[in-house]
Formats: sequence, structure tokens, C-alpha cells
Amino acid sequence: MPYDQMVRALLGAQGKAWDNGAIGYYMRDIGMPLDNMAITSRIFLGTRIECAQCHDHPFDKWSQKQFYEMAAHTFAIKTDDIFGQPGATFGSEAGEADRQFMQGREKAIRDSFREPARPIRTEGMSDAKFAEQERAHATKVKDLQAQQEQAMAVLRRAKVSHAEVFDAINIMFGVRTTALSMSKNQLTLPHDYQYSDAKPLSVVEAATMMGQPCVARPGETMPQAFARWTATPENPRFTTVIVNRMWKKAFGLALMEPLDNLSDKSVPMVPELQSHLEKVMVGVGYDLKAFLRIVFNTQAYQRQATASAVASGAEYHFTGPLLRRMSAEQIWDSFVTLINPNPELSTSLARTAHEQGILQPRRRAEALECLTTEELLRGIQAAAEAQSKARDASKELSDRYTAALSKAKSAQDKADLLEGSAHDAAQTVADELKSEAARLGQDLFRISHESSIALYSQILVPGLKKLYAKTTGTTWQAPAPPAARTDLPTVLQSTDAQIALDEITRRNGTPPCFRPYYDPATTVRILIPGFDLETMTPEGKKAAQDKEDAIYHDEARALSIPKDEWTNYTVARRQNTREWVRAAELTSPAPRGHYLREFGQSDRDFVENANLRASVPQVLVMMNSALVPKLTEPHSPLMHAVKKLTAADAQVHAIYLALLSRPPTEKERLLWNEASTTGHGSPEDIIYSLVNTRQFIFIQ
Amino acid sequence: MKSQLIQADELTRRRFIARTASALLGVGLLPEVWSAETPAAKTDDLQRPATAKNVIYLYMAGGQSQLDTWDPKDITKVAGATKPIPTSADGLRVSQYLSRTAKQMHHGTVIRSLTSTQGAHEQGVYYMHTSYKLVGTIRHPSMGAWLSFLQNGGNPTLPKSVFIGEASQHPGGGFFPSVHTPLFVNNPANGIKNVRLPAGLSDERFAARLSMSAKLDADFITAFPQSEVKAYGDMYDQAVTMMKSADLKAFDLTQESTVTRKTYGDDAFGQGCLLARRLVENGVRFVEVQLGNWDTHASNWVATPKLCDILDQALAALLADLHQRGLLRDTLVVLATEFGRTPDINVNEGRDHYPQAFSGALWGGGVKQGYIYGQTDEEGRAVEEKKITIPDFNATIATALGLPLKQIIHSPDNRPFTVADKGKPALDVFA
Repeated sequence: MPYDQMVRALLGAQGKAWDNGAIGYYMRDIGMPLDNMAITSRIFLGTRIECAQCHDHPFDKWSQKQFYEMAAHTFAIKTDDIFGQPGATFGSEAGEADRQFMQGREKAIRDSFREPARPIRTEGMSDAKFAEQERAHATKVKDLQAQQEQAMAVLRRAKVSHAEVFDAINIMFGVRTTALSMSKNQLTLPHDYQYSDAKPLSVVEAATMMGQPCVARPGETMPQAFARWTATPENPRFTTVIVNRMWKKAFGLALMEPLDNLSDKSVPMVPELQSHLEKVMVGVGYDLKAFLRIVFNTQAYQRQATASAVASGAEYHFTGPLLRRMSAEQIWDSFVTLINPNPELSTSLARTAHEQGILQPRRRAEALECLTTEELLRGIQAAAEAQSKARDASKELSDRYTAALSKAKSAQDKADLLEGSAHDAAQTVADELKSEAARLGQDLFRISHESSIALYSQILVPGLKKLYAKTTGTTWQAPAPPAARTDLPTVLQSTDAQIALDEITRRNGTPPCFRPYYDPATTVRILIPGFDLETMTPEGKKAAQDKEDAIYHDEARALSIPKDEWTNYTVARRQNTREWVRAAELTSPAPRGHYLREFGQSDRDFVENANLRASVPQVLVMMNSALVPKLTEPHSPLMHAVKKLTAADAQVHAIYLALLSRPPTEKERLLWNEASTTGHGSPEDIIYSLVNTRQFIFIQ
Repeated sequence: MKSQLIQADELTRRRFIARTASALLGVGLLPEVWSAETPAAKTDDLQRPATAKNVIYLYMAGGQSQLDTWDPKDITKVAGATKPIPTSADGLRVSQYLSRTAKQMHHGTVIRSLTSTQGAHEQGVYYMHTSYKLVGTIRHPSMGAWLSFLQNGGNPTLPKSVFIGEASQHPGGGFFPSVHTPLFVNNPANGIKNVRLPAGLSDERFAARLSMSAKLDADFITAFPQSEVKAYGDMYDQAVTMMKSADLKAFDLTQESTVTRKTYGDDAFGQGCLLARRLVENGVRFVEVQLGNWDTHASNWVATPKLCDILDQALAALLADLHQRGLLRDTLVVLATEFGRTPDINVNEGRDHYPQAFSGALWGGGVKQGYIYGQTDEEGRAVEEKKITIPDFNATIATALGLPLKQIIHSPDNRPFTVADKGKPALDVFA
């Protein structure tokens, strides 16, 4: 996708996560629309305006009002849609109906309360008699009030249960914050706005800080208009920034530095080149691949890297690219190539898993949308009742649990003070008390999972059945008449409960308390074409695994690995395929501690946060981690390539090509010859030494 | 950036080596924006002589219930099953779940008047660690990073600050150069990663391989004298020095007796506290240990006693151990969390987020012994006296460390910041 289209898709994104991944651009800054605009301005327009968020920019011309006017373009974007809230994307109707339902019940209770007629003092009634009637009346009123209060308490509790079930729907079914829509919210200036051009808290109208005004066309949302205004050759800075970004990618230095902090005073190092490149960019229609192809084919790029550093602010005439360290992703991908003989297979498996990962929340959300308001409410009530029961049961149990815990603790304290056999005896007592407490803890855990079964089977399962019918045109049938399984706990005996357990397992894994009752091979599950890929069933999984293994067998055959080693080879390759996946297919950022992070991958907490500098942890990885030994494992592609050669010189040659993309120089060849005479010239030695050179990680 | 890279070349080798500690934290070219010189001390009326050299910062992630720990109440409606017990400090009570720590309370001060403006976890954790609100355009430094930035001292071959635990939301070194980022240790039992040679590689073969790397690189290094390239050479030297360093033992819990290890508790937090003591003893100045799962919206009286059990064992052992070794005088032990929990018990027998009024605690490091700072009303709904905000709380820690509260530090994008964001230290907590 051309760059300008991509930017418009991001900035104008709307809809649900599974239909439009671009909504992630706004979701990243959920609840922080002003920060989001500061970032937008920085990365797409090369203009830093975050200072103007709180006051006029101290070093540039932007005023706080201008910042707010820019932010007003995207302020009405709603990132926090929640199922069941009035006006939310999912079940908005249901949310409103639920509210009305509750209000109706409240009104009914209030209406049912009729104050009994006050006693009337008839003629001749004695004072005592009248006082007695007044007292009786007061008692009756009090009773009725108490009854009403009780009814209201029950209702309040039901309300809470309903709210909880709504919450649970959001959290448990994973449909919270999955959609982006527009609200009617208007941006206002802060309460402490200090300038005279507007009043604090006044509403801000959208206005652009440079170039043409941004006007929404009929049928266009303001963010879409803003996207169109941003990503166009007419925007004064849009093309300048992307040209510099691409140039920096190739040469290690932009024509205008820093490229994301431009001002009216910024001047390109080579103005003619800058304006030419902008024309080229517009000419190729913002096709970045086409643009880079041109840049990579220049003589300037193809020269050797420059031998000296360029000082900040100094001019550089691009006599060649700068010497650069590989990025974390480049280092990782280099190792992937050396360790994983078939990265394409890894990619395709990763993508299938990814696709299934997106389809699952979509399946749940669409199932919920299939339910009518009435069905949804009925389900919610049933689930709320189960929840309420579970709460009562767990309250009583939790008191016992707390007591048991403190008893166990004092027993342990007592044991700790004793020695010898007295200690042993006391320790036994303490241990028994501890396991008693643990047992109670597990019971509590089980109760909470039982109420999730109710939530799933009362709400999600009916929705899934309807989604099945809608998708296939036929009613969902349990695969075989479910045999009554007497071994199951009551809560799991119905077919719906078993489906619920399958759904819980898909989402969070089988809860330990239900593990004995869940067998993936025989469980009842709902499979919906288009939502559940083949790999959702054990048979499908096995077929996919067989297909994958066949690839490894072919590899083994090609490598002439003896047949009795195939099983080991296959097992190792399965793991290898899943672990050594190209950086682009992995979650970014990788978890802290992953090789990618050790090499300086950005944590993506904020813009341009990758780190290309040397560090001790990084060189420790190169010297001591499991990374280099991975290259020299007997079945690594590198070792196979090396071992098939017999001459030492040929082996050195092969390793150099693999690690440095060049043959060894004569001097290097001699050095290795010499090393082998002292027993330090094995392929393992060569590989280790080369990975630990500067040449390996710097791009010349 | 480039000009600083050039300056780096001029740094003497001795200075590089002196900065092994910093290097360990994950940087190459050390002088990035400011670190070439120590920021000049300015006259600062808020700056006092330090009362503590080190900090052990125990962070209760998820929002610890103050009512079931440091500020227990007598009213059943609020207290639930929790009961106050007396402690070794006169008039100071804690909950029955902290019976071991109760015997150590004469070493410190409980703060019962904390108040925060942030009621969501991510924002709350960030605010507590940085004194600034979470925004999308800049990352502020945590206290350990400020200490590393503003002060020298500590063991030069060890990192200045260390974080122990699962740090999913830690702001780390913020906008400071990565040299000030804490070293993250996930599992205290494993210590620092990759400091030992891979299995089967002898010292002799290792030396031979590295010497080959150097020979093979000789021409490359002559051809490309850039400081980025040179920095790698320095990193290799330092890493090898470190691998041989005796100071690494600080990270090795197996140096402790089984009895000691057991006293701290056989769990990641307990072992983390033990590691914290070892590190402080060896000159690491700021160690944070995290204990999570305090978010007790449901079943508060199932989760809290269990968590308190872990905390109580480790904390009591830590305080007693520090005291016995004479380390408590110089070491401030801080207990903090992002917010407290509601006095009202919800329908799930849980407590929800409550930033209005909650507790923290300080031990050792020059604070009053057996003291209660601030007070909430009898149901714990509001702070009744000595309200202390998050910046105030952090200013108090910074004051104990003798950090200049008024010194303005500019971020790389030239925005002005101060340690504890103009918070006022609670000087009354100091002895």
C-alpha cells in the first residue's frame, strides 16, 4: 500500500479491530487524544508541538490554542466503546433496554406502595381509641416501608449483578475496546488557559496549523478529512518528512536533521537533492518500495560506508552511507536465517495462528450481536442469578478459609520456635493446617469458575448457536445424542455447559478444577465455518502437524540424515520453527529479556525508542548465551553446509559467506590455518569468533 | 548525537572503566546528553543532608488495601474480618495478617495520609514511580534513575539501581540516557543473565576465540575509527572484566545459608528482598522489589491474607536482618503502592480502587522510630490530618537521599523537570 494511503487509513480509521487493524493507531493512546495528536504531528509532519499542549511553544511559533485547534480534528474519536453501555457499538440497544427494564422494575415497586388511609376520628371516638388507630396506622406504614426497602434492596442487588455481568461480558468475552467510533464530544480549552485570545473552557473549533484549512466533505468524518489534509503532496511537510525518513533508512543520516523536529528555519543539507527527492516521491505515488529501489541504485548508496563520523550540525555531502550498526531486527533476522532452514514455514504458521487469534474475538462479538435484546436480557438474568448464588456460597467459605490461614500461620510460628522432635511434631500440625487452608482455597476457586460456566452457557452459547445458524443456514446439532455422563459435576452436565467449558478453554485454558472433565478429543464444541479454522479440532491439528512433519522429513532426506535420527530432527525442528520466526512476524515489542530487546529493539513506549548502541548485556549475549551454540548445533543449516565440505579452507570459505557475505581474505585464511595448528580452528571456533567481531554487526 | 559520539572518543579509558556500573545497565557510549559532567549542585533551600545512602523500595502492585494492613479499623462494616493487633511501637497497630512485621514496627514510620489523583493501575503505578502523570509524549524517570543521574557513589562495578520482579509497567530510566535505567532482574534466584561461559567452553578456548576476533577486526577498526565501533571494543573489555569480577557474587543467592533463605520466604518476593539486602550491602544504591496481585476487587479476605503472608515473612526478615547487620541506619526501606482500597466492601467481598486515602511506610534511613504520620477518619474514608500527595511522598524519599528538589533538569526535547515534581517533603517523618 502506498505510504499516503496508509497514513490516510491510519488517521481516518474507524470500525472494529478485526475489520480494520488500523484503529490500533488511536487505540494505542486510549484516553489520551491530545498526546495522540502531538505524536501524529511529529511522525507525519515532522513538527514537535507537544510543548504547546500546556503553554505556547517556547522555541517555535506554535501557540497553545493552535495545538488545541489541531487536536480538535480527532478529539471526537471514541476509543472506549464498551459492550452494554448505552450508545456503545455492541449491544447499544441491549444496554438501553436493560436500563429501561431496571427502571421499570423500580417504578413498579414504588407504584405498588400505597399509603393506607389515615384513620379518621369519628364522632364519639375516645382519645385512647383514636391514638390506638393512629399507632396502628404508623406501624402499618412502617411495615410497608420496610417491605419496599427490602424489595428495593433486592432490585439494587440485581442491578449490581447485571452490571457485573455486563462487565464480565466485556472482560471475559474479550470485546472491550475493540471498536472505534465517533462521539459528539467537543474539545474545550483547559480550565487554567492563560492567554487572552480565548476564554478557559471555551469550545475549540478545529483549525490547521499550516497549509490549507481542513474541511470535511459530505459523508466524511472530521478525522477522515484530517487524514486527507495530512497525507497529500499539498501538505507543506508531509512529503519532506517521508523523503528524509527513507533517505535516512538508506544512508543513516537524513538531509534535514532532526527530521521529526522541523521548523521554518530548517534547511536541507543539499537543497537541490531534497527538492528532487520530493518530486521523485510524488512521481512514484508514495510507493516506498519503488522510491527505495531508486535510492539503493544510486552510486552514492553503493559506495563503501564513510570512514569518519559526521558531527551534529555539520554538513555531509553523502559521499556514501554512514557506517551503521544493524538494527535489533536485522541482527535477529540474521540469526533466524542461520538457525532456521525454512523461515517461510515459520511465517505461514505464525500467520495462521494470528488469523485464528483475530477470528476468535470476532466470533464471540458477532455471536453476542446475534442475540435479541430479550434473549440477551434473559441470559444476563440467568447468569446474574448464578453469580449471586456463587457469591453467597463463597462468602461463607471465605470466612473459613481466612480463619484456616491464620491458624496455619500461628502453627508455623510456633513450630519455628521449637527444635528437634518437638519441632517436627509441631511442623506436622502446621503442614496439616496449611493443606486444610489450601483445600478451602481450591473450593473457592472452583465456585468462581462454576459461575463463569453459567455466564458462558447462558449468554455466549445461545449466541454462538444463532451465529452458526446464520452462517450455515442450518440449526446447530450436538454431534451425537450426548450420553449422560454421571462422572461430571452437576454444573457441567448439560451440553451447553460442556460447550461453555470448551469456550473457556479456548480463551483462557481449562481451569485446573475442571481439567479432569475436559478432553479435547471428545468434548462437545461449536465449530462455525469461516470463524474456526481447521486447526481448532484435534483432527485438524493433527493433519496440520502431519503436513508440517512431512516437510521436516523431506529436509532430513535432502540432508542425508539417517532415518533413525528423523524423530529427533523433527522434534527439534518443530520448536525451531516456532521460536526462530522473522522479527516482522513476532509481537512487537518482544518481551523484556528477548534477544531482540537485548539488541536494542524499541519498547514502543514512545516514538523512535530503538537503541543501536553497544551495551554490556548485548555483548554478554553474544559471548555467553544460548545464541551462538544454536548456530553450531549438529543440525543447524550452517553446520550442515559446513560439514558437507571436507577441506578446512572450504569450510572457512563457507562460514565467511554465511556470516559476512564475503570470502575470507588471504590474511584471514592464513590466520585460521595458524589457529588450526593449535587446535583452535574448528568451525565452532570460527563461527564464535566471527559473530563476536565488529564486522558482523556493522553494515559497511 | 554525533557530536557527543565524538566527545566519547576523548574520554579516557580510565573513565570508561570507572563506569562499568553504568555500562552494565545497558549502554554503550555513555556520555549522551548530559552525563559527561555531574550536574552542578545549586543552592537549594529544600535540599538537606542525606539521612540515607540506599533505598530498598518494596512496591505493592495492584493497589494494596490499607485497611487490611497499615491502617486497620475497628468498625466491622469497614474492617470485615480484619482485626488490628498491637506492635512493637506504642500506639501503632497493624492488621493481624502482619503479625511478624508487627514486631519490627519500632524501626519505622507508618504514613496513613497518602492521597493520589490517579485511580487506574497504569496511571497510578506511573505516578507513584515518577511523580508525573502518564502522557504519551515523554517517559519520566523513576526515583532510582534520578538518584543515578543526580548523585555519584555506590559500588562502581555494580549497577546503581536494580529492579527485581515482573516489570511490565515500570517507567525505568525515563528520558535519561539508558545508563540510568535500572537493571531488571526477573528471577532473583537466577541473578544476572549470561555472565557465565556457555557449558563446555573452557576459559582457555574462550580467550583464544576472543583474541582471534580482535585479530580479524584489526583492519576493520583501523578503517572505521568511529566511536560506535570503538564502543563495542570497550563493552567487550568491560563485560569480560565483569565476568571475572568478585562483585558479581552480590547477585548470587546461593552464597546465603539455607536458613537465611528460608527466613525470607521461599517465593520470588522473599528471595527478591534477600537479594535486595545483598545488593545494598555491596553498594547498589536503589533496589526495588515488586509484589503483585493486590487488586482485590473480589474475595479480598482470600487474597489479602495470602499476600500479607508473603509480605510479612519477607519484610519482617528484611528489617531484622538489616538492623542486625547495622545496615538499617543508612538504608531507607519504603513500602508503596499506587492507591488504596475502598472502605466499603463490595458485593464480591472485595474492595475497589481508592486513591483518596491510603497508606505507605518507611523504616530505617533516618526516619522516626515507631511513629505514625497522618491519620484517616474512623472509617478510613478521608485523610484527617497531614495529607501527603504522591509528589510529597517522593520528595520525602528524595530528601532522605539528599537529592536537590529544586534542580531543574531538561529532557532531550528541552522540557524542564525536577525530582518529585515540586512535591513538599514531609520533614516531620525524620528523626
